[in-house]
Amino acid sequence: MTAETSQLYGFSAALAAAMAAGLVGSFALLKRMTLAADVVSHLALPGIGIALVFRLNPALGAAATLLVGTLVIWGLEKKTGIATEAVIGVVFAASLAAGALVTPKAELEEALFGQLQPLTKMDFFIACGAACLIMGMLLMRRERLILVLFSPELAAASGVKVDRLNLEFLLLFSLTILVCVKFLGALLAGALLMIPAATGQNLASGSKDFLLHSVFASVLSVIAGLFITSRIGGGVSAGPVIVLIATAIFLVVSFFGKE
Amino acid sequence: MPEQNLHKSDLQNPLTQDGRPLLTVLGMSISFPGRTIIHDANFSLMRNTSLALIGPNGSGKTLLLKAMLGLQPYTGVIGWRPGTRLGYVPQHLSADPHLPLRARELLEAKAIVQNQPASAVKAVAAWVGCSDILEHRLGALSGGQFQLVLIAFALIGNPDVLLVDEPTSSLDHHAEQQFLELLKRAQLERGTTVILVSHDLTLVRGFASHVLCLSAGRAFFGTAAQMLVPDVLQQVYRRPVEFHLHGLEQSA
Repeated sequence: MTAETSQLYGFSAALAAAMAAGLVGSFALLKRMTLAADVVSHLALPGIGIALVFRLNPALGAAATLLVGTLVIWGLEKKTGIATEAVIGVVFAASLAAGALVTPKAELEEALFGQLQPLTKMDFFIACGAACLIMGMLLMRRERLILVLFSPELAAASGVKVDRLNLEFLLLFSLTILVCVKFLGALLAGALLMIPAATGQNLASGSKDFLLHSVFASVLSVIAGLFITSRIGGGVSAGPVIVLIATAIFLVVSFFGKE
Repeated sequence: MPEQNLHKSDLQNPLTQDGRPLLTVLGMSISFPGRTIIHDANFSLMRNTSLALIGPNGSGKTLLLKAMLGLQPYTGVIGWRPGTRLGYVPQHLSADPHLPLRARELLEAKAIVQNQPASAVKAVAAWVGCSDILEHRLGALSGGQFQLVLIAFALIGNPDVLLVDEPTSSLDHHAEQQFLELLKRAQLERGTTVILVSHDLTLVRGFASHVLCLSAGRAFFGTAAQMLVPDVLQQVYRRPVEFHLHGLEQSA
């Protein structure tokens, strides 16, 4: 496989991840999970660190801690209801500290901020497959999610299994983070879910427009970010550039957009 | 619409009613740790009746409604006749003003979740009289318009029973009248049984065939004529202490 091909794989996988992030982020924003996105993405860090120490695939480690963390957050939210925000603050700091401690120094920057790496064919298919799965599962649940975020009680009265749907959504949410962590890093993956969604919300009055605008803002940020990073060269991480561009789009839309 | 015609003919022909109650409540209690809200409620309701749940603040009217909907844990029996479909119009629901969701999209979401054809949304909206606001964002609707959308939402899936919580508490007089007209039309034209939580005794008097009064943990059930008399109401609203003591004896 030539270097160009594997670069192309990396680039395409990032685009697929961006689409999934825009879509999942839209629902997450409406479910007021803005803080949760950051926490969940930090959950990946200790996993990446541990995997590196034991010379395993970092994605596996990230997947493991993400899954456990997601179940813990869902359980706490279901059980206490009130304490979630406080717990989120604790988990946020703890996972960052644990991750910084166990991740080898040389790898820490990449784990935190990500880097667009050339991908193997296998990696490419896994990332794109995961992105398609996320989008498909989410669109299949779109109506039920709309009912739940409008009113969990009305959703339950209409026959929606609210707890189960929330768990499914959190798992899809974590899977999206996992797909994004590779090129955005644990510190910034959550940003690609939240910022484009906030942009979309500023532009749309219907839910369909909202989803489309969010996905578009996300994809645009990633394309522009990767392009600029490749132009600058010199080992600049792609993650911060992408997030800054997403933020710039959000600010422009907020000041010059609808209303 | 064939389904609605079916309901109409049901109404006109009492023989299609098999005499079994639509709703049977037996020994039903709702309690929280250390506190019994409703103790041992017993009543049953036939189809095409209208039940008002009344009682002082905190007597558990909304909790009982939610228990009937399966949204609130309880002990004892709340049994709907098999196949009964329920529609729910909640109290004090308001849309986040920034929620990017049109009224049509909310109604369509319920239609899809309940396996209804897409045409159901248009038909229900036309029946309720909210076709002109379907493309509005939910957060941009007035209180009365929002209430109409909520009724349309409840009516999608063609429920046999509408459970309505404090419908008029946030509406002006005009919107209140409009809302009551709709409930009456639902009873007449769709054969819908209505269960209503209300503080407004005038409304209850003009509307309900049966009344369930909750007071200090006890549930008193009767026809509107039996319940809405000064003696009973005075006992319930002015001297709740007696009932309270009685309730505690029962639950102890």
